[in-house]
Order: sequence, then structure tokens, then C-alpha cells
Amino acid sequence: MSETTIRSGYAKRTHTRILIIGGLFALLILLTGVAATLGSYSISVIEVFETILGGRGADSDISTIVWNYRLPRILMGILAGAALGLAGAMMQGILRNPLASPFTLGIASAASFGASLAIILGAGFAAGGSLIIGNAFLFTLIAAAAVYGLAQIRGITPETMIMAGIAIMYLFSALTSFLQYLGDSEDVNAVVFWMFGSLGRSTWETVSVVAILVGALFPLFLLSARSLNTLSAGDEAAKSLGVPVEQIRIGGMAGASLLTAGVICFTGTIGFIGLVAPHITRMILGGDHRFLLPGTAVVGALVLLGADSIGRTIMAPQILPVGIMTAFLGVPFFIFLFLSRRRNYW
Amino acid sequence: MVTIATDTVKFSYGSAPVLYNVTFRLETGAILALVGPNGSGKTTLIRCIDRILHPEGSILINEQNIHTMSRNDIATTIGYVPQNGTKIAAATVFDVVMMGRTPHMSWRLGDGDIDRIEYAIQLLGIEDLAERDYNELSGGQQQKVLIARAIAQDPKILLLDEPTNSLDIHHQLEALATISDISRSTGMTVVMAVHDLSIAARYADMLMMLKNGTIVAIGKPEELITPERIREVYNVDARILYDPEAGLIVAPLRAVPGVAL
Repeated sequence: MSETTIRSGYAKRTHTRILIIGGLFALLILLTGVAATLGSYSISVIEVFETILGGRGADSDISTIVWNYRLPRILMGILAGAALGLAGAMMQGILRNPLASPFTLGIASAASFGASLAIILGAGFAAGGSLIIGNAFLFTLIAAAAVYGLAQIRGITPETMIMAGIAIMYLFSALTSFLQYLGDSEDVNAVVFWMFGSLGRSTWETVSVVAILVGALFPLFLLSARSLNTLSAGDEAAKSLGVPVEQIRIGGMAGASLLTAGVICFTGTIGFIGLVAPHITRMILGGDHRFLLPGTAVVGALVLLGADSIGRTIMAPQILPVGIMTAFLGVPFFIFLFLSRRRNYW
Repeated sequence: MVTIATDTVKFSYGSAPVLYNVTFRLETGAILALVGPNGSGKTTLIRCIDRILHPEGSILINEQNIHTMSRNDIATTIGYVPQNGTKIAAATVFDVVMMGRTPHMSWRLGDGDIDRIEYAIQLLGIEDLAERDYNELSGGQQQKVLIARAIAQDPKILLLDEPTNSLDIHHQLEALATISDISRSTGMTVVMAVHDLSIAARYADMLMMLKNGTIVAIGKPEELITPERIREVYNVDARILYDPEAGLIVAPLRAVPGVAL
């Protein structure tokens, strides 16, 4: 291979990856239009886009339905999918482990415990209607801090963080089971339903909060992409190449935990995206985090919005919780990619 | 370009001391080979010089203490080729060599970065592997990629931990000639841990013999490599031969029995 082909090979790969991300993004916009047509009131895709481009406040049934009911749910699906995908990609990157996700590190089981505490005992950190949200958010951060604290005793390495995370996960799962054992059946039902994960509780306020969180953290994640790439060669090599390994690991953990907490406190636990969206993206785009991170955000959004759209229609008028649908939709696709790829993607 | 000077460097893993009072000075552009038996502290010394480990005592790079340098300053000055064996997820050879640009590049890979990556890939003769998956390469190929990564880093000092241990003799000679050429043409200072004494003698200006974490001797290879010293350091009886082209050749004869590591 001559000099020009090393350079042009890189340029070609870069263009391909940008094109794929652009294509996935276009698909997401199309899916948004299709998702907004789903429901008992029939609206065409063209009408949906006209209504969205026409802005909020037009005095028509279509505008009310699209803006007030369907868009908050759809946007929450997009933002939650992007956030959980990013959180998973970050955790897999900083821990160099294909099984890492917000769930394997106990963060999500802590959120479930926080929500259970609010539902069953009415106890927690916030007042009134925000009790479940406040509890889920805070317990998520407490779990992240506990993982960090435990891991730090032996030094912040992927192994210590995963061991600490697994311990925390089992602890909070046991605590949640204990609360369910104490609770009456109505409360237990509510906890179980919360743990399925749902976009049904989305409002413009909750969408705004998640949008701010994703908007603030996504650029920081992108800035760390180069360090994450180098970290994949091991701590020692990364240090020697100038990467502040511990800061990246602690910052990445904090960022991923915040994103996860910010989403699942509103939606309940949606488990599958954080693990699998990064893998699907890695198989398509490769391991360079400069492309992997934005790609994962789009793929996470696509999978979550697609799952929710199918969940809303497949047994209509009954709506299946999105947490269940993500696995039904994502697992076959993931297995197909996994079996059909010749190359080692991890 | 850059000198290395250490003063009474000590390091322990927990309570097990590995280096004691290592003091030496290496001038710009010199090639130093660290030799000694397994566990003598060669790798530890290399890691200390790159501040991956934090020893007692002082290590000065161009008269500046490495403890006062930022991680990025160290990375633009010192390149490190570890022993291979680490899997790297979803990375092509190009991606791995690109990592060498980490301390230099901004978020985007600039033209200058690509120039340097190309230079490193060509220098090691691994153009044909550029788009291959790193994990699929043989140990020897991976070793060349890691050397290319350090060359892409454009360091003033190059540290290599047994750079030839998975290479066949053809590629050993090639890789060491490449490193030696770069050192001669750019004044890059080189420190490498090597097991093969004949190779060390052939390519190094200076030899440091380590045993149990201390320096047994440091000096020119032809002065240091004697049957007595090889017996002292390795507990091996050896004969020293001389070939007009290959230089000094160490022919190990037998291990002295009954000596623990």
C-alpha cells in the first residue's frame, strides 16, 4: 500500500462513517414523523412534518395532538435512547469491558430501589409528586458514588469498578425485593410497572430536563473521545501517551451516571439500550469513539423510538412498556449483526 | 536532544523492593541496553522513567524533574513500547498507530498527524497491514505496530521493553536497525530492555547490567561483557566470541546449578 493509499484510506473511512451517521440521523427524522402518526387519531406523515415545522400554538386538533401528546413522548424516546446509549458507550470505554452498562454497575437497580422507597414507604428526598423522580435520581448518584468509593480503596481500575458495581447492584436489588416483600400488592404492582420502563409519563418539562442534560454532557463526552480511543490500549499505554487515565475514568463514570439518572428517574428502568446500542454501533462504525459516540446516540434513539412505536401499535389500544419492547426488537438485530460480522469488533 | 539522569531511584511493589539506588546518566542520542535476569528490575526502571510508576529518588529529563512535568509533556518527550499482549478492541493498525498522535493532535487528525502516521507505518514496513484488525495480527506484527505507534509519537526519548521478543531473527535485525537509524539521524535517546546479550552488544552504545534491582555494571558493551560478569549476573558459564560483522557474540555454555532466581 503506497503513501497515498494510507492517507486516502483514512479519508475514505472517515467519509463513510460520517455518511452512515448522517443516514442514521435521516432515518431517525423519518421515524419521528412515522411515530407521530401512530395513535387513535389518524394523521399523515406529511401533516406531522407540516405541523412540526409550523410551530407550536396553531389552533387545530392536529397541532394539539402532535405538540401536546405525541411529540413529548417521541422526543423523550429520542433523548432517552441517545442518553442511555452514550452512557453505555462511555462505561464500556472507560472500563474496557463489553458487558459494562449503567445496569451492570448497579446504577439502575439503585434507581429502582429509590422509586420503590417512594412508592411503598412514601419516604425519600423530594416532596409530593416529585418523590419518585427525586428518589430515583438521587439513589442513582449514591450508587455511582458508592462504586467510586469502594473502587478507590484498591485503586480505580476497570476490575475494581466492575467488582464494586456488581456488589452495589446485588445490594440494591436485595433492598428492592425486601421493600416489595413489605409492600401491599397495589404498591408492588406500581413498582413492577415502574421497573418496566415507560415513555408514557413524558411531558415538555421532563423532556426539557433531559434535553439540557444531554446537551450539556454530549460535547464533554465528544471531547474525551480521543482519550477513550487511547485508553482501549490499556492503562499503561494510555498514561504513557499522555491520557490522564484516572480523571477520564472518574469523569466518564460521573457523566454516564448523570445521564442514566436523568433519564430513568422519569422513564423507569430501560435496560437494554445502554448495553447494546454501543455494540451495534461499534459493529457498523468501528471503535473510534469520535464516531462511535455520536453514532451510538443516534442508534440508541432509533432503537428506543422504534421499540416504543411498535409497543404502541402491536397490541393497540394496549401499550406495551418500552423496556420490554427494546429487548424484543434489539436482541434479534444484535444477534444478527453479531453472527454476521467476520471481524473482531471487541 | 535530551539527556536522562537518575539519582538513587528506589521502587517497591507493596513491601517487595524492586529497584535500589539506581543512579546513572545517559547522554543525548545514546542507545542504552538494560540487561539482566528475569526480575532484575529492567521493566520497572523503564516504567519509572516514563512516570507510569512513581519511585523515590529523582529522574531528570534534560535537567527537569519528571515529577514537575505534566502527563502530556512527558508524552511529547518520551515514547514507550510495552511488551505486547494487550488486546485492543475494534482497532485497525492505523487506529493503533494514530494513538501515538494523542499528545500532539487536536480532536481532528491534522495533515501533520497523518504525515507522521504514514512515516511510522512505512518505516516499520507495515503498509499492507494498515487496515487490518490489530487483534488478528501475529505477535511479531503487533510488536512492529507498537513500535510504529511510538515513532508516530515523535519522542525525544524512546523506551522499549523487550522490543524483539516475538520477532524472528530477520525482523529483529530489521526493527533494531530501524530504531538505531532513527537514533543516529535524529539524536533520539533510546533505552531498551533486552534479553539477548549479542543483540544488546551489537546495537547499544551503553550497557547496564542489573541484578536484584541494583546496577552491577554500566559501560561500553565490549568492556562489560566478560565470562566472569555473565557468571556473576546470570549464573551461566559462557564463551565470548567475536565476528568481524556481527561483533561480539555471547555463547552460553551451561547454567550453574543450584542457584535460585
